[in-house]
Amino acid sequence: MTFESLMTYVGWPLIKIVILLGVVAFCVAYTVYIERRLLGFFQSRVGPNRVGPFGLIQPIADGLKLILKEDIIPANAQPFLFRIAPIFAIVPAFVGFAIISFAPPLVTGAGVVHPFVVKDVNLGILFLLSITSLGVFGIVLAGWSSGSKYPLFGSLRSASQMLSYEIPLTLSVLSVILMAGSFRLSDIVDAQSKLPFAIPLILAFGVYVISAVAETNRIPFDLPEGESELVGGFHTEYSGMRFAFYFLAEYANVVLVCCVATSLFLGGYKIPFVPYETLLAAHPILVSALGLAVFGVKAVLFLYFYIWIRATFPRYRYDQLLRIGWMVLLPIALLNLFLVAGIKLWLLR
Amino acid sequence: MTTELREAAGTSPLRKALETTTMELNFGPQHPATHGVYRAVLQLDGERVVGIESIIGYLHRGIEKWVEYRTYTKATPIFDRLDYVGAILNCHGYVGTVEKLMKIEVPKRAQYIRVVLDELQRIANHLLWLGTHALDLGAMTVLFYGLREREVIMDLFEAMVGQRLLQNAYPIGGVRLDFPRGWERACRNFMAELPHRLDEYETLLSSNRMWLQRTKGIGVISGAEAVALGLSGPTLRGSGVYFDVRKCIPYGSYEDFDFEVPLGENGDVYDRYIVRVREMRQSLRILQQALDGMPEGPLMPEKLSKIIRPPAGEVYFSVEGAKGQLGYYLVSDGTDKPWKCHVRSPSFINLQGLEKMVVGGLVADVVANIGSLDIVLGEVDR
Amino acid sequence: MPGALHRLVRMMTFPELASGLGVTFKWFHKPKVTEFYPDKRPVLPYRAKGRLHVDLETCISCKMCERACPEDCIKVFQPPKEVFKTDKRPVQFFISLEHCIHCGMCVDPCPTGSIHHSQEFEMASYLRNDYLFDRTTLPYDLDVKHFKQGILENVVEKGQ
Ligand code: SF4
Ligand code: SF4
Repeated sequence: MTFESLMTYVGWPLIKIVILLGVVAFCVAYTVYIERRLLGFFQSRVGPNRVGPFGLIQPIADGLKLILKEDIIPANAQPFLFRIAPIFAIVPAFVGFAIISFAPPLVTGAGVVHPFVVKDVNLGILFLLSITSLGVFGIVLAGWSSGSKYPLFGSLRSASQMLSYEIPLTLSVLSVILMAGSFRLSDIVDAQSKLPFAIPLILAFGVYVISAVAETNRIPFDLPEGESELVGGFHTEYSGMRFAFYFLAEYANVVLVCCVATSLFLGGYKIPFVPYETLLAAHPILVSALGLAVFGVKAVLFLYFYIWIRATFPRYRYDQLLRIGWMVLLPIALLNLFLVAGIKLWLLR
Repeated sequence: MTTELREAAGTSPLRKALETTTMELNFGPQHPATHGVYRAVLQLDGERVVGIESIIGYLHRGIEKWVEYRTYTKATPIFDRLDYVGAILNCHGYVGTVEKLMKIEVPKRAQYIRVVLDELQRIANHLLWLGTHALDLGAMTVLFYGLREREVIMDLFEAMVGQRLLQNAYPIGGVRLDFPRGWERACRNFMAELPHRLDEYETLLSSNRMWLQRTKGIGVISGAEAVALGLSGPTLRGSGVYFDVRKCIPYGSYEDFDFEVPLGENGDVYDRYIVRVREMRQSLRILQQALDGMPEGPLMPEKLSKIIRPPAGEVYFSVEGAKGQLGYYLVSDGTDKPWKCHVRSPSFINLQGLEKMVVGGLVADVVANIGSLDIVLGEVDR
Repeated sequence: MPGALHRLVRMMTFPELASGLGVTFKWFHKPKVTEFYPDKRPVLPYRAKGRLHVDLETCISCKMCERACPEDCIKVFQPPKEVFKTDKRPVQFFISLEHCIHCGMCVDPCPTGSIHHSQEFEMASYLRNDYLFDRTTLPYDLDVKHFKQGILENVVEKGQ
């Protein structure tokens, strides 16, 4: 094994992973800040603005506080499961980022291509869906091992909610795959160079947005945590760093969903209105940098929409939520899938 | 476990294994949705509520007993602590009772000023209620909008009587001071702004399908049941029963004003919500009329002895509090201290309706129902 | 049928949810109402019932405030009889702000207006003793009137 091959298979991915982890953790922390801040603006107040300029150091202060807090394990809890449950929650949320291409690959001289992705798996979407659905284990385990009733309720709700919304979500993603003809995320993004899929697949996009909100347990579908009913939901008994894990996992999921929606429906890093070739002719780095910026802007816009929804709507009830999942979203997603398949088969042949 | 299954299982160990039991869930006293230290022990069959037991008394301060050791005047501020989000109304109830006992004629201007402050307090109470009720159902923005408007009322109170929450607004006999300069203008500005804000809340809630699904047909209580349980206030009117102390047993010049009593139709959470929202609009109407027709005159009756020493006897007087009929029962033995005091606190009695509302519903509806009752634990426990 | 169609269209297009989003979006751009308290101190209105001030120079030790207080947190000590004939100022005046509920009932009966609320509202302290004011620690009312009459020096002297 030569040094080059070692670098290709171990070195570079490791470096990328470390960079990505850092960047993602940073983004997630600041997502919390952005959310609190924007939520404040929507509610006619200013949000956190005390720690540092504009409250920018707030996430760090929060993190420090959580690290320094006592880690309480309730007497009724099952200590082992209680301890590892947060890991189950946070790992899938972060692993999902591995397959997302954040920018167009950087083409340096002599045709060497550096993709901006940890690993562009050819079954990327499938990997993503299966990994993210593992997150529910963290929640169920937390609820079960806490030995307390509110978390139990929260986790049961969460399990059924995630199961029911995974299906419309997957179906809506399937129609994207049909359109693009590939499971690979970079291929899907490339297939959107003319038109983001959000326009032809408006139904699928709608279903995706709604089920994504449900998947990430946010208002109006934040039943597992339903603050007013279940105190804190599945993480009621957690404190300190373990609670922070859940918190981070939740927001990592939010960021992940935003990134995935950007890649699948909003054209990913494709720069609108400017042909790729002209930019490439200008400077290869420019393409990548602009692509990264465009990706970021799209993702942040999506996040803004998310927060906006949270600021506006009340919460559904448990049974209503499941009914919407099975009786509204699922048929729509199926219909959409058949439509797309039909169009693809007979019209776009 | 269905009956057939149970029959099939007979007395076998399988039966024991399949047996399901109800789960007991402690709802409170420290719980985000109980609006204070209220505790409900729920019996749950899955997510369905099959029984509820209210446990109260965590905020008991013995106010009724306390009053027996204080003179009539000194007892005034303590009644603010009953329903601390509608303090002025409590105060009005108490001073009204003593005035009735002593047959004091409150000057007309003082009565009108009391009406103005009362209605402002009612709006403030309903705004806070709206916010917290919406927050219980997940719509957190309404809380902040409601608090924002309530803040203006609080500032008006502070300028008028000096305190924001527990104002000790009225002395026995009338009011202490007239409106400060510019107060009326500020109040009118607020009154001009509020209807638009109420429209916004209704856009956020009344027409929102999630809100409708969460509130329509939930916690239904019929008019007859509500009357039988002694409910009052918006909780009763939500069930379509026309009873408003301001209309039915007028006090403090309320007969001078032209306003409607909004009624609900089905007696569900939505009706109780919409009744309160409409009530705020009616309160604005009363305010408008009271400010426009404010008579001139003294603020305190001319001959009022410094020491309040009512004749022996008993008296019951009630006002339309923020939560319902707020009644005071006083027994005087001719000394300067009440011999016995009892408060008919609407929150306490409205809480009786909770069982009718929640049994058979889901856990999430318990929250909606508690919210729709608008209880304040200071008043429930006294 | 058109009614059902209309309902279906409404159901699928969320007009009422969109108007709700419009409301929150509207306030997103409006100026915020948050008060920046320690940076910007609010000016309380004239009638605000803040910390009690007592002008011990004008007080005539009549104990009206003491009798009116529902929480019994005022204690006034009259000077001895011989002195009281000429100088009615109290020898000792206790106010326990720990118990005070800022109800204003002591202010109403005071014949001289010596006891009154100020607009001071920052009364938090770590020590219970800080809430018990006697004649050496009572916040005097440093009125313009006092400056003019040259009483201020007296007050400060006596206070120490
Ligand atoms: S404000 Fe009220 S409680 Fe405080 S000293 Fe005066 S009378 Fe007593
Ligand atoms: S009522 Fe006024 S004058 Fe009388 S003792 Fe109190 S402060 Fe002094």
